[in-house]
Amino acid sequence: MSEFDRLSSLRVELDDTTLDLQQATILGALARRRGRRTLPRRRLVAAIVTALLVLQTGVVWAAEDTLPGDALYGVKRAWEAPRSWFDHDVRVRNRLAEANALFEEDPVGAGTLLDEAANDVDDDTQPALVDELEGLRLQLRTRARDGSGSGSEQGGNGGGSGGGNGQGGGP
Amino acid sequence: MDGIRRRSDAAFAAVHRALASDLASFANGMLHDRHAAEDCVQQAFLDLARTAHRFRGDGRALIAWLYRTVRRRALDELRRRRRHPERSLGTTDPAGDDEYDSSVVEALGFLPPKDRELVVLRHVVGLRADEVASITGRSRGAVYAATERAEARLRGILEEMDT
Repeated sequence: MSEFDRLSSLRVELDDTTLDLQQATILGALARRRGRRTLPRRRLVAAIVTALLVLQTGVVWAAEDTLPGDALYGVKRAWEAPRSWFDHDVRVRNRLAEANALFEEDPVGAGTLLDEAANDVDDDTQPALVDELEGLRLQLRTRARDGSGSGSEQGGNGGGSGGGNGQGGGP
Repeated sequence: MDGIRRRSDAAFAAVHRALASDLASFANGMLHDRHAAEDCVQQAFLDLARTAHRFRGDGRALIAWLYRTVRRRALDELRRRRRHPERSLGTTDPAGDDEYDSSVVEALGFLPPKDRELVVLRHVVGLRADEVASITGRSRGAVYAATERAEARLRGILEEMDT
């Protein structure tokens, strides 16, 4: 027997009681881990941020075509500031679209929106948008004038009819 | 291994039952303290329970991981004992000192931890050189050479104790 064989006296054989006690502790720890069912911290944070971004993107998308008075109109207006960092004319474009939508049913509201658009116009605004703005403001002024001066329009109409009759006679 | 990663009771119980005595023998060889050795084994499995979902590797890698974890726990205990010398190396088994051949066990206590673990893995736990290589992260050739040097040192210590 070599000197190293005598080292086998250090060998441990755990009895069933010790093994069962250890296993009970280990399985208890496993059960607590399974019961938590939590994600690792960084994955949890990433999941929450992603969910917020998706939720926010969905809400912003839903707010895209809203008009003053709609529930999500405030969201649309709030997103114009950050969007303007990479889309200079977003405010002017949105106000023009809203004014177009309200033109027939709420010309006063449309006029207010066009005034706001005019405030946002600067040297960098696309010329096409400036033209559209001026065109809509002109239409509103014409509509307002026509609506308040309706008698002159009717006189003109009557003259036209009379002339027709006159033309009916021969030389 | 999927059972381990899923923290399955059956998988953990099977691995524990298969390896606990060998792991405890290894820790006892390092600490000469059976109760502390059993604690190291239990702590190693609790560490596994905490990190099992991240474990990547096969069964051999798991065995190596468990031995390395027990070694780390045992070395921590040795360092703690050096800071508190009233708990020095020696047999504290309630079964009595005569359970060990005290001269060679005492000599083993004088080996540096790196040498001691090689001798314990080969002669207490009874692992092959390739298994020791897997646990220690060395090549089989390096394990052979290092183990021979450790055995030579142990013989030298025994001779000094006998004179």
